[in-house]
Amino acid sequence: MGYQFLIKKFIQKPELSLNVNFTRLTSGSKKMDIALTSSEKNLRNADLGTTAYQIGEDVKLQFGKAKEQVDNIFGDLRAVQEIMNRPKGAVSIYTKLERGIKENKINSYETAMKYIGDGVGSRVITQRLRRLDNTQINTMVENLKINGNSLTKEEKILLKKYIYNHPMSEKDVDRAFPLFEKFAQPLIERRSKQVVDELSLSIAANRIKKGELSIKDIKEQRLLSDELIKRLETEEFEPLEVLLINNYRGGHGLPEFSSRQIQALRKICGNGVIINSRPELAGYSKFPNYNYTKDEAKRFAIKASGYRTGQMNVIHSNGARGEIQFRGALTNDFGEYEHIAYDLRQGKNTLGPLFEDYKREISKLSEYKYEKYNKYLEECYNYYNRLELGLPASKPKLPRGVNKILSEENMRNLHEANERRLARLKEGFSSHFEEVA
Amino acid sequence: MIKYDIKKISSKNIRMIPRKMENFSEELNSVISKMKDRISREVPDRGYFRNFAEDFENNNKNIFARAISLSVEKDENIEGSALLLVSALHPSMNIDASSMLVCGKRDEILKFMNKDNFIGKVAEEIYKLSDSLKKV
Repeated sequence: MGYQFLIKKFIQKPELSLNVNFTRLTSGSKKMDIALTSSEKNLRNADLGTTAYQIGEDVKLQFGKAKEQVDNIFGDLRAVQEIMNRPKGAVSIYTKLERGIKENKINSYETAMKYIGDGVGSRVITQRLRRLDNTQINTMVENLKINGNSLTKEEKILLKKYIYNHPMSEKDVDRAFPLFEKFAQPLIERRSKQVVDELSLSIAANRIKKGELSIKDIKEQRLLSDELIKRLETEEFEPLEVLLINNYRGGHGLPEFSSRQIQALRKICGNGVIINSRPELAGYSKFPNYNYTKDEAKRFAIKASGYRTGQMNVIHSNGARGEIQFRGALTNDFGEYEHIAYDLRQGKNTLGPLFEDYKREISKLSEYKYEKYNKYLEECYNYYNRLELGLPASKPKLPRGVNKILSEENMRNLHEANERRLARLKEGFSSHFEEVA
Repeated sequence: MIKYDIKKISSKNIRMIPRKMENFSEELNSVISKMKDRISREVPDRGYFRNFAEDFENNNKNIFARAISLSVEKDENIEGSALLLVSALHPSMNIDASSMLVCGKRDEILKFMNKDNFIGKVAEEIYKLSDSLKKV
């Protein structure tokens, strides 16, 4: 009899090709502050594996409080379906440290921790909205105003065709999408309002705690709505520092947070908080000297497969650095396996034997077909996001000439089968150790 | 960790209106001065105004950005109020990083821009944005 174990390669790597010296850490040492210092007498080549392991242990120590904080902020909201938290693993820390060293960004334990950034990872999964009926959609289209003007009759027809997924020319799609974005804005905001409100209050609480702002300042500068100021005056909030906000979406995808919500967050975050988004998200050209060609504008998607999420780098109240992602349950599920195409195409096969057929097929695709396939994946993201917003949605079809093995359904099946396989291996792994102990 | 698929840059991807390259601080000063002028003229006390921006192509090798811009956005929640932003465009042109310099009424923004250390503050922000874009 035998057990099949999937064991990741031990991360210790005593000899690095990088010209960096770190002090070797004694296993189990609590003196974390001596790690990665370069001015000690007995310098040796870095034991990066041990360092990554120890940072991982440190992250685990901070994890409990950070998780508690995320749960306290978002856990009781009706709009939140589920919260997932995890401390970053040693293997992932190792990879990131290696990159940081190559970039000359790490020269001490503190800079290493800072560079890791997402030591604590959290996902806030938001509820989907109820499906809109035709009457509700019609009313929304009729009442829609852009810069104070109602839509023309032609624009209304175009928008409805887009909403109901009618076949359209590429030119019409490009004209309809900006209208669709405006149409969907109230739905986006309805879905994420509670989350953005709680986030804003936690950011405000942090800035008040740090002495950067007072409630009087917030009132005078109108950094929050009256409703939120009232809550700030009467309730206690978990302080949370936001360092960076990413509002990712695909070419024809809708963002998790609307431009108005991003602007509100920007105001309460104050100066210095960086927001990454697609250049045209603000609805005007921030770079008027650049004239994008149509093909370039299509590549505005950060990730070719249409990856979408609201994502923030934060510092929790216990000092732990973390990353919080916000998205709906359906797009979250799809995101769990959407990346396998990219990973396998890049030659990474850490996914196990079940993905061999998929790997063979994805590597056979020409650049042209791969682009088509990515468009299909982006349409899948948009399909699930439409369902989350309660909008009409039709399931995208796999492009002609692409093997069914690459279909979204098959990707999901493979992912689920792989998850079951890994769960079985883990069971076998622990029972093996119980036997030999 | 999310992996990004930033396209490699080729010259055909760049569509900048050709003009004489100035040095970085001259470009920055020029953009600041244009923005002051436009804010005085285009941001009203109340009512609608169109968001606007002024940009320049970055030729400073220490800054990881294709272009830099200053822009004014109307505050979508407060009538007559606006935000002054500084943005850096990623070399791939797929994404930009931006941060707020100040928000408030027209005169408050102009007062802020007329402070002695304003240019230094903008430059400092640009370096932060550049660092952020490197990580994308």
